[in-house]
Amino acid sequence: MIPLFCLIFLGLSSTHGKDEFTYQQHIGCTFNRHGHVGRFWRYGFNTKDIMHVDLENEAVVSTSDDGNFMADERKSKLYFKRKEARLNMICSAVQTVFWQSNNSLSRAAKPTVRVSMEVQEGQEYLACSVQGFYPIAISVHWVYRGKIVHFGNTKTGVLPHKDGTFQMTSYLPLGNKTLQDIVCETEHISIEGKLRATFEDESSNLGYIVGIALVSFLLSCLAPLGITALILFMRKRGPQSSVNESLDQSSDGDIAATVTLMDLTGENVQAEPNPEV
Amino acid sequence: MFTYLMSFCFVSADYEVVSILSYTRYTSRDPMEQGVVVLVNEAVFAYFNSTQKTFQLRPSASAGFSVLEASKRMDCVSEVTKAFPRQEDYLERLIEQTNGAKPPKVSPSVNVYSHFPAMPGTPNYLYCYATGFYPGDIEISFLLNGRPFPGPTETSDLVYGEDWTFKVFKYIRILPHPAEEYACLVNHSSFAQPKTTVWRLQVSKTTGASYLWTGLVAAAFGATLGCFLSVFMCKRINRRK
Repeated sequence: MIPLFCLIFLGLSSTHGKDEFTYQQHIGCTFNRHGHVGRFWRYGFNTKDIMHVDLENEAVVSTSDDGNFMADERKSKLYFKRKEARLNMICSAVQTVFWQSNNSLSRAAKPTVRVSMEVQEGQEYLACSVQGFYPIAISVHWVYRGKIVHFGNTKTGVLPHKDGTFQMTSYLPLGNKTLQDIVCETEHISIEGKLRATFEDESSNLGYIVGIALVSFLLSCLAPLGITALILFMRKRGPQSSVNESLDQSSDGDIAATVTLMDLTGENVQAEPNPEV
Repeated sequence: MFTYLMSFCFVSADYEVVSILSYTRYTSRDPMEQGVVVLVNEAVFAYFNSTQKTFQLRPSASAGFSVLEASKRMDCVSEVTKAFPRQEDYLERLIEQTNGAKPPKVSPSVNVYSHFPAMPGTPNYLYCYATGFYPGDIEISFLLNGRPFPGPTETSDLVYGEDWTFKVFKYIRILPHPAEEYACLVNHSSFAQPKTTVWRLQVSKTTGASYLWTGLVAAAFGATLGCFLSVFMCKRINRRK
C-alpha cells in the first residue's frame, strides 16, 4: 500500500513521471591460473553503498542507515558461513566456465593503431586511434623528439566494442610541432615492447583513390565522344540529308558510288569540248 | 578503485577480474526489470536469459555454460531465480524505509565512435556509448542526415561500475560517406532536453586535396583521350563521305 502511494505521489510530483528505484548487487572475484586472489559482495540502493560482506571479520555489515535493517537480518554466524559458501560456489563456477569455454576473452587481442590529422574548431590535432584491444589495461602516449608529451593531450576513455574488445583515441594539438618528430606509442599485453605509429597520409585509401581516378577518367573520356556521336547522329538525321540517307542504304558501295559519280563528271568534262570542235 | 588496481596487475601477473552484476529496477513504465550480467575484465562474458532460465555466453566461445557439471549449473540458476523475488522484496522495503525519497539523477556522458578506422565506402559499425548515468532508464537513437536511422539498432547489456552508475551502448551498421551526417540522440531523466552528438567521416585536409587532384588529373587525361578519339571519329566519317 505504502509503496503504491509513494509511486503515485512521485509520478505526480516529477516532471518526467519516471522516477525509478534500483537495488544493485556487485559480486567480485579475482583469480589467476593458481586460484582465487580476491572476492567481495556489495549491495547498492539509489547510488549508495548500503551493505557488504566483510570476509575478514566474518560478518555482513551495513554501510548506510538504509542498509541497517538488512544487515540486522544477517547477523547470525550461520548466515555468514552460508553466504561465504555461496560466494565461493559462484566464483568457482565462473572460473570453470571461463577456462573451459575457450572464450575469446581468455586471449589477448592486439590493437590496430593509426595516426590521422583532424581539424576541430580551427585547430589541427593529431589523433592516435588504438582500436580492438583486449584486455582493457593499456597505455597510449605521445612522444615528441624522444620525450613523452605530458601536457595538452586529451584522451577519450576506454570505449567498448560489441565483440568485447576496446578502443581509445588520444589527441595531440599540433601547434608548431614538426609532424615527422611525433610518435604515438602504445603498450599492451598483446604487444612485445612498444607499438610506435607516426602520421602517414592515408595510403591505405589507395583503392578509393584508384576508383576516383578511373571514374573521372572514363567520364571525361566518354563525354566528348558522346557529344561528337550525338552531333554526327543529328546531322545524319537532319532534313537536308535525304540524299545521304539513300546513299547510306548501299553503305558498302559508298566509295564506289562516289567514284563512279566523279568518273561521270570527268566524262562530261571530257565530252564538253567535243561539240565545240 | 579495487578493479582499477587489479587491472594494472593484470598486465604483469595475468589476473582475471570478474564482476557479477545483479539488479532489480523499479520503473513506472515497466514494473520490475531484473538482470544478471557477468563481466570479465570489464567485457561482458555472460548474461542470464530469464525466459530460458540459463546463462548465455558472450561474445564468442566454442563451448557454453554446459561445460559446468549439471548440479553446479542448477546451483547457479537457482541462485538467480531465488535472488530475484528476494531483491523485489528488499527494494520495496528500502523504498518504504526512505519514504520514496527521490533517487539522485546523474547525467550520462556520450561518446560516438566507429568500430574500425572510418573510410568512405567501407562497411563499419557506429557506436553510441552512454556512461555514468543514474537511474538506468535511458533512450538512445540514431539519426542519419537529421532523420531517424532506417536500419536496425542493436543494444548492449546494461552494466554498472564501482559507483553504481550505469553504462550502455547501442550500435548500427553503416557505410560511411563524406557527405553524410550521423547523430546520436540521448534522452535521460536528468536532461531538460535530448542531447545530440554528431559524427561524420573525418576526411583530413590533405586527403581531401589528394582526392581532388587525382580526380582532376585523371579527368584531364580522360578528356584529352576523348577529344582525340572524337576528332579521329569525325575525320573517318568525313573521309567516308
